[in-house]
Amino acid sequence: MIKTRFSLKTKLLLFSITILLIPWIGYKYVRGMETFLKSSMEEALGNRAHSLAIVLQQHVDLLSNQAAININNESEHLYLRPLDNPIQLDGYTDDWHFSQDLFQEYSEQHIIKKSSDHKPGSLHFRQATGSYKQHLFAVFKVNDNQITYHNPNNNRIDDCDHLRIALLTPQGKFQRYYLSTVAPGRIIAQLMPNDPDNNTPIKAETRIQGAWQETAEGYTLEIRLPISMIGSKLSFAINDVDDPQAGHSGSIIGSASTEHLSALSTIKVPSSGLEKLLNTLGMDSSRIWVIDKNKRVLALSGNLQAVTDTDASQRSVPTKLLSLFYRLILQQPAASFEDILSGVSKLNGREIETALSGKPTVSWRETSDQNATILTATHPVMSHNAVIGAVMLEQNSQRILLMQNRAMEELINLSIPVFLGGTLLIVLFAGRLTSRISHLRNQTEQAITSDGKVAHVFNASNSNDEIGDLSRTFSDLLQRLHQYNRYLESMASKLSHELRTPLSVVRSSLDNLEQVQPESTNNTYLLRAKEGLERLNNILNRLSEASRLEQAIQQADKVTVDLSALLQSCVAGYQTAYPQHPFKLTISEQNHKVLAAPDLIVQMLDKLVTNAIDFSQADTTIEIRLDRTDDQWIRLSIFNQGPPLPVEMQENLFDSMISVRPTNTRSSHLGLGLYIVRLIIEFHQGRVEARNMDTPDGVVFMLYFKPI
Amino acid sequence: MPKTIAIVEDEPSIRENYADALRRQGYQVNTYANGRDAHAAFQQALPDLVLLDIGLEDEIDGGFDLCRDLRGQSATLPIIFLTARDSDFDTVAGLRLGADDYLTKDVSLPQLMARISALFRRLEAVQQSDQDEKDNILVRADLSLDLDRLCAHWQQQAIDLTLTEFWIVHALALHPGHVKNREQLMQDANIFVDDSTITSHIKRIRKKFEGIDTAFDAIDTVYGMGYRWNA
Repeated sequence: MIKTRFSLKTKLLLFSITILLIPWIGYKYVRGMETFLKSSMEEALGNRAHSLAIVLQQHVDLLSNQAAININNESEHLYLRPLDNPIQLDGYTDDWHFSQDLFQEYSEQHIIKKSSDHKPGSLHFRQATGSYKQHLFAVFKVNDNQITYHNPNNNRIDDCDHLRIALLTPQGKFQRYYLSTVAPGRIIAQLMPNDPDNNTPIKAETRIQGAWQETAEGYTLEIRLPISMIGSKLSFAINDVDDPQAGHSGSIIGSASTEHLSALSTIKVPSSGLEKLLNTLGMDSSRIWVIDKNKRVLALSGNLQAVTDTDASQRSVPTKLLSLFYRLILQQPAASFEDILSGVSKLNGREIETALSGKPTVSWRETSDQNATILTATHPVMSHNAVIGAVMLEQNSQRILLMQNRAMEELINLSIPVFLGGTLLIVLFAGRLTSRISHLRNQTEQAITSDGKVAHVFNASNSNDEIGDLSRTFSDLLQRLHQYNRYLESMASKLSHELRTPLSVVRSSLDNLEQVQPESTNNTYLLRAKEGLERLNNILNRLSEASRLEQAIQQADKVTVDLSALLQSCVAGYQTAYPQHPFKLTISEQNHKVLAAPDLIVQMLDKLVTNAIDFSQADTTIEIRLDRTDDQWIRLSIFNQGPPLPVEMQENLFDSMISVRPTNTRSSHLGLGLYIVRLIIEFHQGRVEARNMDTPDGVVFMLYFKPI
Repeated sequence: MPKTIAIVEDEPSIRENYADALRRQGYQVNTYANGRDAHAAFQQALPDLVLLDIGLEDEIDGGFDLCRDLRGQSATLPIIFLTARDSDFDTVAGLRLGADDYLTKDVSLPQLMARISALFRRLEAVQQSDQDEKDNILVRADLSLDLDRLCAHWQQQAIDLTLTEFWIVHALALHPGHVKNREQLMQDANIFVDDSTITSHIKRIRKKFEGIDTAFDAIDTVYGMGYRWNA
């Protein structure tokens, strides 16, 4: 099984990912905010509808001014819708196309006067009115099987197809106008006498202009007249004359009769007062409708479209880049949507009916293309405890989406630096921790040598945290270990020192005994006691040898020593000292000069040679070789054919009190010989190693010296 | 009149053993267990020889202090350190304070007696300077050893050797050119110490000679065997 090893740094980095939970929670929160925003928007819009209704109740005159007259027949009322753009007075209906719902169909049931030769279905028209700035525009798409033009030679103006207009001026004057033409093109109205039977025009009225254009089905007539001419009533009627020779007016279809003031249709002229009032109350991306109790639109203000990020242009380049990024990840409000209500002149629906029955409502609807959701609030407008109309407020909920996006952007803008900063901090912190721990590990590692000795006690960290604590504990531990090691190493010399006094008592007592009783001199027991005393003394000397050597090392001076000369001299000495062992000395041709204390080197050689002699049988050769290693160290090897070293002891063979000798030998060995060798070779910056050899079997001790 | 020997030693068994042995030799022996008693007694009258231990009861270096005081009182009074402390440092310190010899406690009683009598002999020889001085003088080129007075001269200049050092030099110079190994030197110098102590003795001897003659090279180290007097 492979075990993956995670470093502390990796672990902390993994944990730092939990910081990412913060934006996630924020995201959840923002999403949850939608419900809250929606309900608060509903409440706000409802409140606004309510206050708007109250405002309108205080200006009830603005409403009643236009809707006071009770109209039961819908077609008898002309609704004047403000138009978004001016109408080109050319007789073509292209510029009305967006106001299709304004068109009202007038056909058989609107016949005011039927001529004798009227053929059913031969005449009907679609009509729309609208206002732009100070003018009223009207269009008539007339289906006529036979178009009759005015004969300029004829005095009567009603010998042809023509449009009749009757109105009540603001001054309360009843006026009638006829519009006819001799050919398609621009026309102007003729003021007619109030008497409907008098068909001779009084004068041309240039303020009322029109354009006549023939179509496949009949003709189209566009007219324009200044609103200032119109009071509270206005009627249009199309007069269809099929036979100019008949000498009488043809069939008439229209909103109402144009003959008498009492019969005229009512008209709602956009009131600047109400519009102004609504405009001041209006709000971005919301629309206010005011309707009368017949659900007719009295006033309209505001626009649902155009919810845009207003401050986008003021952003700096990096935030623009960011917003580009947000555009990719966040749902953006649709740039446009289809608004079926934008052109209606009459509002239908449950909300309106509820409002007109006296109850406010708040509801949501989706646009037909599902691009946006619209919030609608309605409120009845009361006057004298009776519902006289209603207000309807609409608001685009895209605002909520926009707000959500804003919040999301804020969240991301905030959490990215927090995440980056947090991660950076964690990485730095982890790095610091790791480096401190590695430092401590390296210190600990260096403090103990490969053979388990305390090389030096490192300085403990003085920081207050756990790692500092660990460092202090380690340092303390090493200190104690060091002290214990020192105690062990010095024990030999301490022991010898302490034993010397009682030994001295024994020795001086025995000496005294010998002198007092001369006959005891050769007593077996006395001899044995003295022999034991000698051995004890020997042991003590050996014990203190190491500590004395340490002192000697401190005082020793190094001089240039030729190891080959020294070795030759020593081996000659060993040969006389140990005649039972043949010595074989091999010295290579190279230079073997080292910087050393010769006495100590000799002492070291003595130990190794004694060791070699002790471990090998008599008559076996002790081979001593002096040569160079491949990396130019001087190597002095002493080989004996003794039993191999136990493998487990090879590492600490050179430590104090370590001996591999059989314990039953008579002479005492304390394992200090090789320890002394090590002390001396370390003093010379060299090293020593022991190795078992195969051919011939034996053990070799190798000393390595650094050449000069 | 018998010679008076003072033993300053805090270990009673050793003190009494030495005292008994010395008394049998006919010396008058005064024993002191600590530095204060000894000091008080020495103010009254000086003995003819003092055996000093270094550590005395609660005084770690009481022996050294006592030695300094005694040397102040008398320049010739023979003083022998007899102590369990065998480090080079203590040896050198003791000898610097003017002790005539420095022995560790593993010295045998006969060896100790030999030294004491040798020191008294030297003292007498110095006092009777006109006696037949020719007989017991060993001359080896620049070296002359007065075996009675136990003093050495190099190029006619006196060299202040301790008793042990004198005997080592004597053992070497007696047969110039012969290698003396460490065991032989120990026998001749009436000491039994380890090899490195002999090495440090030789080192000190060389230093003392080099103090007079920087070109001194009469003592040869024969590595692996021992030392030899260079004729």
